[in-house]
Amino acid sequence: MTDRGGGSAPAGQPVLRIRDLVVEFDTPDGVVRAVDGVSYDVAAGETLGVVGESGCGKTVTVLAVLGLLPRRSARVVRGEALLGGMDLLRLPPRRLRAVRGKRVAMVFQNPMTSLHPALTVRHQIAEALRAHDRGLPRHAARRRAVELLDAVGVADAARRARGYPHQWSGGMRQRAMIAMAIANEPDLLIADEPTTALDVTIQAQVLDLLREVRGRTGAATILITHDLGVIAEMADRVVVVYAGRVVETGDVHTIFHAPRHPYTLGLLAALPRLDTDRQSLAAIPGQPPDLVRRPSGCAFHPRCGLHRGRNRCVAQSPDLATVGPGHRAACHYADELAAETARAAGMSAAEPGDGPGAPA
Amino acid sequence: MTGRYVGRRLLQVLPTVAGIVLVGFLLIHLAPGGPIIALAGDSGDEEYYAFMTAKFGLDRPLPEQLATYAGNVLRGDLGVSYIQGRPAIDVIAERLPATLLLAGTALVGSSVAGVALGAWAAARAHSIRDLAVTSAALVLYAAPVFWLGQLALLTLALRTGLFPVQGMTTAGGPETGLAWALDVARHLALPALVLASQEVAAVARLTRAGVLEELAADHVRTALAKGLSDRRVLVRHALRRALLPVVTVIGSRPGHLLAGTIVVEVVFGWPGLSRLLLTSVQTRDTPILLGIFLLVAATVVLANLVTDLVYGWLDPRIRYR
Repeated sequence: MTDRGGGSAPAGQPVLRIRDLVVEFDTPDGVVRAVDGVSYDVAAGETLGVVGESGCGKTVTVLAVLGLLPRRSARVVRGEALLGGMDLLRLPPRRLRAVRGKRVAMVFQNPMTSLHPALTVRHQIAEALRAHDRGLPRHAARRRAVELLDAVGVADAARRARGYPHQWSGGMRQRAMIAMAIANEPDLLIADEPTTALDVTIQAQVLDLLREVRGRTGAATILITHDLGVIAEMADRVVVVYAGRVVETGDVHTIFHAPRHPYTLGLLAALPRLDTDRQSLAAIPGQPPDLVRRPSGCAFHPRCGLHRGRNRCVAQSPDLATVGPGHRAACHYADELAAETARAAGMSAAEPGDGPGAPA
Repeated sequence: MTGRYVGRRLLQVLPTVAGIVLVGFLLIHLAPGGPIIALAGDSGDEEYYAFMTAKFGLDRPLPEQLATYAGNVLRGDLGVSYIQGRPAIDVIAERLPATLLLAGTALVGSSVAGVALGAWAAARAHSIRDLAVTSAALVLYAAPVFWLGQLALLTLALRTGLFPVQGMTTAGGPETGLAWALDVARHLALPALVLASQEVAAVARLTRAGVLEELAADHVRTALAKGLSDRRVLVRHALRRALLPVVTVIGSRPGHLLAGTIVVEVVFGWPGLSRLLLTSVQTRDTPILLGIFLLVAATVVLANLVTDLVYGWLDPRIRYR
């Protein structure tokens, strides 16, 4: 076993590179292009925050990478997902299975339903170990499972591990999910809305744990969330997704202080704040787009304050263009936002490191 | 899953069985006719009728007859067959093994095959092979047992001679040892297959639906994300949950199976309980009828108990409630 102090790849090196991923679903209403040319990297030791409204394709992207999309209705149209030298999207099932849970592990949103209700917690963690180490005896796997639970802060782990998920609280179950995910010391940990289903006080604990795990294992982390508060607290870099496309990406400080996409700005303005006397929340007008009938040009234009009836937004889809060091945005009029953000900064932008997601 | 739980469930068995004995007793006596006509014939000899009636205690008031019968049952005495003149319990015990063998084989075989087929079909849902299995199950489920039985007789027994046509053993054949067992197995094959066919269909369809639902569940996605094989996820994770409703259905089958055996036993000349039951109904042989009632009731109640215990094993949340 190699030294995992800094993950298997040196810090700063991309662990996973997603390139031009396109995923389509067959639905009764027609074909939905849920992911439309998404590209991003995540490096060892780094936490990449992926933000967007529900249904924007942020989860579908990672499920596609792991081959966990529903087989009948979903298909990867094109793209690459490079882990080391391997393209996970073209790996034969048997080899992809060796990657899942071993090199790339995932923590899902709802710990209440993501564990098997009729198997003990210990068994479910031991299963993850034995799936990738055929020679590991059952009793050794069980012992290791208890150690893992202990490491993620489950009190009295040896006794509790013999219990069933229904005897565990939501926060404890999410700890068990995290223990399961780090069981095989993965190079990449994907956490999909890991705190959304939890109480606010438990959310902070789980985020602390994720941060601690990252520090200990040096794994790359993809944190998927719709909660900018979580992003501010956890992420090094941010990818903002809208209607299946990356609309802005940059380091967390830049995204919060100098966004160059009106959607990002809208998300920031919608953050509830305790330090202003604003009475109502600023919502982005309109609805997330119906992906069967995607708006022409820039998908955000029907809801965009910057559009102002200009034809270019309707006619032409903007490419992701560099707007600053390590900062890219997909807006025809990104320049105009510089002035807007300067005006809005005082009342809307949250500081990275402000604390956990503000209560809704 | 404590001993106390099992004990409590067993205590509930007593009033259930007692109720069934009471209802069965009253129903038989409410029906017109009686064993005397069957025994003494249509001669019209009133004196002889009265003699026979008194001999079996049928001249006593009904509550008294009931009390006597209940007391005897509690002592393990099911009475004497009016027709055969032998203890009812002996008559029933003679026929019981054949029926248990037939119904038991059908129940176990159909459960195992049904679950396996259902899970297999769910794993390749909506494919041609799934469609074939699902449609075949539907046809089998819709086919009446007597028709299936005669069809099997015509094609597999009479036409090809692969299987014997009637009975449980070959007349003058081996009576002990392996040769005897093989002879019985050859006789058993067709009736058991026919009896199991409907069960297989029901169990397979239910299993398939349950597994399909479970395969879309969050915990299955977690299991796949851990790197478990499709097969392990199907059998250890999805199927385990999907079995809950299947176990309920299988647990309710012993009662139905005994009813289904009547037809199959008649078609295949199987020397089991069902034909005894038929003749006993015709002759109003009350001790035999009530004995069989008691047996069926006990079987159903016992099957329910076993179902509950299996439930607790499949879903620990039930155990801890």
